[in-house]
Amino acid sequence: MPIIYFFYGLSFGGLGLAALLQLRHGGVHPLRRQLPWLAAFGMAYAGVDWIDMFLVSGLQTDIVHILQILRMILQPLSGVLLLRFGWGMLTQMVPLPDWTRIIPGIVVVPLAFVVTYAATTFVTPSPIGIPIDIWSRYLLYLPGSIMAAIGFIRQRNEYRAKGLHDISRLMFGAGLAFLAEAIVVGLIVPAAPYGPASYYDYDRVLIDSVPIDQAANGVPFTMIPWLDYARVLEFTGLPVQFWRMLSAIAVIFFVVRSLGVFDATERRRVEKLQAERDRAQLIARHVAERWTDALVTISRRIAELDLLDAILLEIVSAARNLLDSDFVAIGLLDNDGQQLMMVAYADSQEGAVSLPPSLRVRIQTPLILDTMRLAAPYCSDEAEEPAAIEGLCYGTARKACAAAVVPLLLDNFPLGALWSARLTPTSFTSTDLIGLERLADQAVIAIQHRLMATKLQSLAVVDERGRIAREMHDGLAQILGYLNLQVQTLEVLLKQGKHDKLLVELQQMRQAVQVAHADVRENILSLRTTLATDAGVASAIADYLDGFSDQTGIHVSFVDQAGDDLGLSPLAEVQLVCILQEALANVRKHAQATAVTVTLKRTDDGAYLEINDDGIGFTVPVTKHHFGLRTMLERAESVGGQLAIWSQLGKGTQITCQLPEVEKDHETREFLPR
Amino acid sequence: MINLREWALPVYTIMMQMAAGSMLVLWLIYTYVVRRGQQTTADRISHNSLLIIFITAAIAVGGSHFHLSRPFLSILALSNLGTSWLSREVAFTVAFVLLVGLVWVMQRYAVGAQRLRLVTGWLAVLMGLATVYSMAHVYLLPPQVAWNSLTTPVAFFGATFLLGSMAVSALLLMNFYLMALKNKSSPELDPYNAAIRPALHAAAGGAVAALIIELLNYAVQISLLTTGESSARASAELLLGLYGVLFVIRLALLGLGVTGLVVVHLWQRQAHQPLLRWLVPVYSAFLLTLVSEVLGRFLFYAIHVRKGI
Repeated sequence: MPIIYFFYGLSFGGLGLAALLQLRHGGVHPLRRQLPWLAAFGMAYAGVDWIDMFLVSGLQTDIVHILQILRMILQPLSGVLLLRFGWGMLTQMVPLPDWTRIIPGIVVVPLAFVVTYAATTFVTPSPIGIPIDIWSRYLLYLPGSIMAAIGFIRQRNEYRAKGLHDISRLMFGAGLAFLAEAIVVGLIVPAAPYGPASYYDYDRVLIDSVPIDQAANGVPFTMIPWLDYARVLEFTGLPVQFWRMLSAIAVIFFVVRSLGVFDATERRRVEKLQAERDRAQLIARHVAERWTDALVTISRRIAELDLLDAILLEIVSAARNLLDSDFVAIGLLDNDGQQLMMVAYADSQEGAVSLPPSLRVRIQTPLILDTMRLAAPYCSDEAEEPAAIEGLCYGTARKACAAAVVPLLLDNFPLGALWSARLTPTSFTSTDLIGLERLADQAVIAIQHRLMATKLQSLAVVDERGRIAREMHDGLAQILGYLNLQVQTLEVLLKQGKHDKLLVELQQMRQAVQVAHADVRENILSLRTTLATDAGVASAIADYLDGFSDQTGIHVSFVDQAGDDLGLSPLAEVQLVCILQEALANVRKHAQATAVTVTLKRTDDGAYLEINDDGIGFTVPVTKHHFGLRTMLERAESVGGQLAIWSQLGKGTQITCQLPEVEKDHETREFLPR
Repeated sequence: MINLREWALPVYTIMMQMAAGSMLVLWLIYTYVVRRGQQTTADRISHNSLLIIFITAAIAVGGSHFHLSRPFLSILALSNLGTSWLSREVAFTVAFVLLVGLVWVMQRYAVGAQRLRLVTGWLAVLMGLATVYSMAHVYLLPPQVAWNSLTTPVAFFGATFLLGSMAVSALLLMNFYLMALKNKSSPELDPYNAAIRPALHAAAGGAVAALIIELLNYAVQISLLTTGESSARASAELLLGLYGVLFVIRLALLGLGVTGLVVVHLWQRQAHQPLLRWLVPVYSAFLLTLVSEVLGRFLFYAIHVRKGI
């Protein structure tokens, strides 16, 4: 018999140990929070069983008494631990429905009766250890095991709903194991002269008429046990301890196995999530790179003052590719700001198309107009009325199923709209909308640049007119004034008959007219020199130098080492040509040179221009405030360049000008005094 | 009393007395709230409680059948209404259960005028008190000296008022808790809050009064038993000897339950705590009192010593 108790205790000790090992193993399953209670229960219950082993071994009376007291303490304690485990399993794993909160209120009355009945059994002749054993089982083990079983079965439903059938089956197994434990540990009790494990045989009571004092003397009652250990042995052929051992082993197996499978599943799930995250990051990075490339390309074209229509075309093309759209278009308000006209679009059939002014389509879709008016982006969702968006694919009969529209805003004033449409009902995401807004920002910047360039051009024209006016005032106007005086002088000399003097004056007049003629021709040459061709700066300079040489008779040598592209911004190119014109005008007027050498080359820093003449030269400090020289200096500095003048009397003059490349132009401007 | 079958009697008597007492206290509160013109509030706070009282009484009636050798012939118990207090007890019990059920149905389906509902409820209260009175008379048997005195009806009515006060306190709070679960908005619960709070104070007062009656009744009973004839002294010896520990526990639980309820009321009145904070302490006090009363009923049956053959 002791050996049975040994293995009986061992099975529950194993349960406690397994729970402890699972605790040490770690993991994320919420069941682990309840494992300490299960571990403590297993250990305490094993202690009770091993005490039973010693009690049946025939020890000394004193030791038996101590062990019995220890057992009477340990057994209810183990019951409380199991009850706590069951309560945790029932209430803390899966939230209970609200109605279950009234259960304590309902069970209060039957509980009161049961507790009272339990209390009365302590005054029967049976040893006190028996009611402690019985009521520990009925009031602690039984509800504890049932609650744990319900908790596991509810877990099973949760995992089944999640499709985790392996864990679901194991949880169900654990639930069944606890139900079995509820029966064999909680319901089967030692034989006792009171219920509910025994009941009166009323027929025999009537026959025997056992008097009450007989009961007090310990004479057996006429009671029929039906749920005690002897009945189990009789019915199954095996002692109840064996069945309890089996239930403990089943609990160990299912709890440990379900935690193991859960951990493995969780690990796989985490790995899968990590793989998905890595893939998503890769895709996101790729998409981000594509967006960045597109935005950089557009920005560069804007910086290069590319044509607005070309930039807008680039924008709709990029939007269609990046958003995987079937149709993307951009519309701008007309000059009156009254009508929205579609200026470019891109679709899957025609690619990107820029519409000339005569072919531009007036946009009347309320959705686009409202988006522009409200200055708020729009993105359709699946619940959207299809009629609101289906007419967005202008120029085609196809109906859009998903759309995103963003306004083009400059200082909160609407300039137009950019919209994208899909023919499939795949809605645009918030990320798509943000991307579309970035493209719209680029469109606005392009428009803004265009407006600024136009303004700058106007300012350049005004500036040039001022310069010509100054030239005419200093040159032609004075000469004409001089000629007017000379004509009057000639008239007087003619009346007086002073022919000699008359001839001298005529000679002077002829020289003055020649000077005026040279100035006018030079201005005409300057005005005629334009960069608005595809030939490039070097070609324009070469043409200009040819004209200059023809007009002035000064031999001009042009050393072109620049090639087709100087790498200058358009504004810098204009300033470069103006500096050259100013320098050659000075040569013609003041240098008395016979030959000029102009060198143009591309350097690491940008463009380099050098003008050398073989004239009379001048003293640089004296002429520092010369209007023409100062203008040249200002022109070079306005585009971030530098200008240097070297001259010496009798040894000609050298002017060098270094202008930066486009990017360096911007960087350099940051450090210029404002 | 070691046989479960004998427990059918404590189950029946305690649950019926609790149901009758609860109906009395509930209907006092109901009438008070109706008189203040709050018919809807009165219905809302009493509806679930009526159902619980009905179920309690029905379980008591069902439980009493376990005491019978032939439960299916229990209807024969009504055959001696003119002469037997047992027959009258059964008749009043059935009438009480039916009337409580009827009041609940009238409330649930808005049947009949409000006055009719009120009167039906009071009729149910009357049947409940008549049941307790008949129940007490069943035990007034000359051979059973421990039972055959005024202390038996006093003990039964004391238990009725005490359990009624405690149970209704718990039921009102449970009902309020359910309303709070369904309706989170505090302003909408205000009328119920205002109605329940004074009712709980009144119920606590009733419980204290019932406790005093029960304690005085025990003093009288012990005095009568210890100074009575041999069978009476034998009962006294059982009560103070063999079952002395249980008797002490019974008194301790009784005092603990009622005192706990009073302390909770005083604390709540002083601190103005939300009503829901009362739930657990009041329920605990009710549980202690109920265990004490069941134990008292066990002792009531356990100490009887028959005089003669």
